[in-house]
This record gives sequence, C-alpha cells and structure tokens, in this order.
Amino acid sequence: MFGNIKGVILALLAGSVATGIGALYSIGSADLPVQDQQPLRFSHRLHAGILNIQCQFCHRYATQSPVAGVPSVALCQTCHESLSEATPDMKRLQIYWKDKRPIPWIRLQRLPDHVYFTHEMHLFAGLSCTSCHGKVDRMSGTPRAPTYEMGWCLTCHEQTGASQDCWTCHK
Amino acid sequence: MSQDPQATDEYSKQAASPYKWEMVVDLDRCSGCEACVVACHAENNIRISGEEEAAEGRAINWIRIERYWEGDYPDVKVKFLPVMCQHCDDAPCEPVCPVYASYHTPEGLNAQVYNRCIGVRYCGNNCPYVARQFNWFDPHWDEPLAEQLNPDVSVRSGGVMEKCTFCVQRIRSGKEAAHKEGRRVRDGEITPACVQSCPTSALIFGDRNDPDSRVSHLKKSRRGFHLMESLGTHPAVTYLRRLSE
Repeated sequence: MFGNIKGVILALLAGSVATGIGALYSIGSADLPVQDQQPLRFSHRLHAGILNIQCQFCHRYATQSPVAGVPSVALCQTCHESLSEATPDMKRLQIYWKDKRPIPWIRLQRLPDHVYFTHEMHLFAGLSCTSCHGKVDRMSGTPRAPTYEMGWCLTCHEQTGASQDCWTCHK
Repeated sequence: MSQDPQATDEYSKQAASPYKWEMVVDLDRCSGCEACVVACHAENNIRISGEEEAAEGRAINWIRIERYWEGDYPDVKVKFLPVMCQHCDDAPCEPVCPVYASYHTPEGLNAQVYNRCIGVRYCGNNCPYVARQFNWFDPHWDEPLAEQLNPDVSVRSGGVMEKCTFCVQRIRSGKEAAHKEGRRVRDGEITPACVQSCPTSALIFGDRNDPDSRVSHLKKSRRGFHLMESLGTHPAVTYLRRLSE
C-alpha cells in the first residue's frame, strides 16, 4: 500500500523535474518576453503595418551588405522631427537625439561565429523579409519568428535548390 | 572500393561545378620573405603562439616556408619552398574523419567545418604535407591585436583542427559579386591573402576550369610538378621548378 504511494510520488517528482529541464531546453532564452526589454517601446506593427513604411527605409543596408542595419537616431528624426512628442517613448527618443546618443537596442538574434549569413544575397535571390522574419507588420515588439537553426535554413535551401555545400554558410 | 550510385552522383555534381580553384607556386620567384605567412596570419585569425608553445611544436601556420640549405660555408645556397594545404583531389585527410568535418567542396577545396570537428586528429595524422594544424589551446592575442580579427573568418577554439582554406571568405565574396552581375568570376579577381601579399608574384591563384586563366596556362608548363606526386593525392597546388636547377 505504502509502497504504491511512494512509487506514485516518485514518478510525479521525476516527471516534474523532467518537464522542467525539458522546458529549459525547448525554450530559447530569446523567446522569453522578459528579454524583449528595449530602451524604447518601438512597435513594428505601427511603423511597418499601420504606417506602411517599407522595411528597407529603416534597415537600409539589407540589399548591399551582410547585415540589414539598425537605423540611426538621425533616421528616426527624419519623420519624428515634425511629430509632436505624444507618448513617453517619443519623448525618450528626443532625449537621445538631444544628447547625441545612439539608442542601445538589445539584439535578440545573433548567429554563431561559425556561420556566414548575408542579407544581400538572400534579397538578391528574391526572398522577401517576411519569408524569414515572419509577419513583422503584425508584431508589436521585436520580431523573432523562427529559431534560425541550421535545419531551418537547410529546409529552404533544399526546396529552392540553393547551395547545400557546408562552406556556403560555414566559415 | 565499391561503386555505389550515390558516390557517382556526388562525383558528377562536383564535375558540374563552374569553378575549380588552383594555385601555382613559381619557386624561381620565391625569395623566402615570409610575407605570405604574415598575411595569412592576419587574414585568417591564426593564433599567435609564444616562444614556449612554438618550442613544443604547438605553433600554428597555415602556410610555411621550408628551407633547404645546400653547400658549405661560404658557398651556401638556400632554397625555399612555400607549403600550404595542397587541396588534394584525392585527399588522405577526408575519408578518415569520423564526423565528416573534413570534406571536399564541389569547387575542389578541401574544407574543414570547425563546428563539426571533434578533434580526433586523424586527418592531421593522415596528411602527408603536415598542412593540418591542431589547436592545443584556446586562441589568444596580445592587446591590441584582438581588435583586428577578421569578422569573415571564425575564431577556432581549442580542440579543433584547422588549415588553409585558399581564403574561402574571399572566394565567397568574389563569387557573390560576380553572381550579382550575372557573370563568371574573372581571372585574378579573387586573390587569397598570401597571393596578394607576395612581392615577387611567386603565387598565382585562379580557376582551373577556365582554359584562359593564368593558372591553366602555368600548370601546363614543363617546369610543373606536385609535391609527393607518387602518393597519388592529386593536389590543386602546382609547383614550378627553379630555372637554375
């Protein structure tokens, strides 16, 4: 009788420990909303979705370099200069502008050092930003759609007939 | 060796690749200045070993200058032989890798995928040219050298085998530029760091598949030979004999 209860408790305990450890592995740290604590509450949904600003107006280097680029405060100001400081976040932007300081955005996606990736060639091949980054125009925070792991890259490379040679992406 | 259909497929895929990279080393021009060695270190984030590590045989060089002394003082002649990975078509290092970290690219490069490497060093033992170098320690650079690392080349950690890549990062960017303009890579457009820095132009790099490229012409020269040709490794580096010999 007691042996049975002990067994059940042990099984439950082991199960909960396994679930806990499994959850830690399955959730990347970047997936947690806590991580998305940007210095300004910038909304892609507002800028790309409602206002319909093209991705490459702000991420200017996407077609010509490996990195897409994060806009400078000066680029924000091209529009925000003529806008009123309606929200606390817009006021904060003006403080950065007046202090001549860059906004210390927190980068959520970072490829490992042994991976070579270039935005330039992917856009040249005709991919759109949403193919990899998801429906950014509906995301209020920082977009983090897929895992950006090798299997995910290779699925597309296989389907589109792109190179699957290791040294195309590994350096 | 057994004939399996997949291997044949793999072979035909390789033959279909538009490029086949080749290097020619003109020994008559080499003055042994080692500018190529320095350029290679700077370009490829190669760890700088101190005196102690070097004495223990733990120093890493992707290209080295072998010296041959002939005659007795004062009639001494020194002959130089730059040796880098020969990017063999039948590379002894490739079949022995248990995790496929060492493999042949369709463009004829003998590649090492660092993040796959588990450091068993079979490849290094099997390389007759001693071109493969093992990281016995984690990399370190004296300040401020750590600030000048090349972002296009990964920094290899301890326990990983590394070797000459023919500056694959430069090949990649050259190919991308050509692809965007819808053309083939021009002869001389891609230069590995060693080729670029050679003051006497002893090193020439190019595409073997292009019949008009400089390497295609030079490798047909009567002076041409391969290192340890009898091993049947079919290297992609052709050496040209000294004229004075």
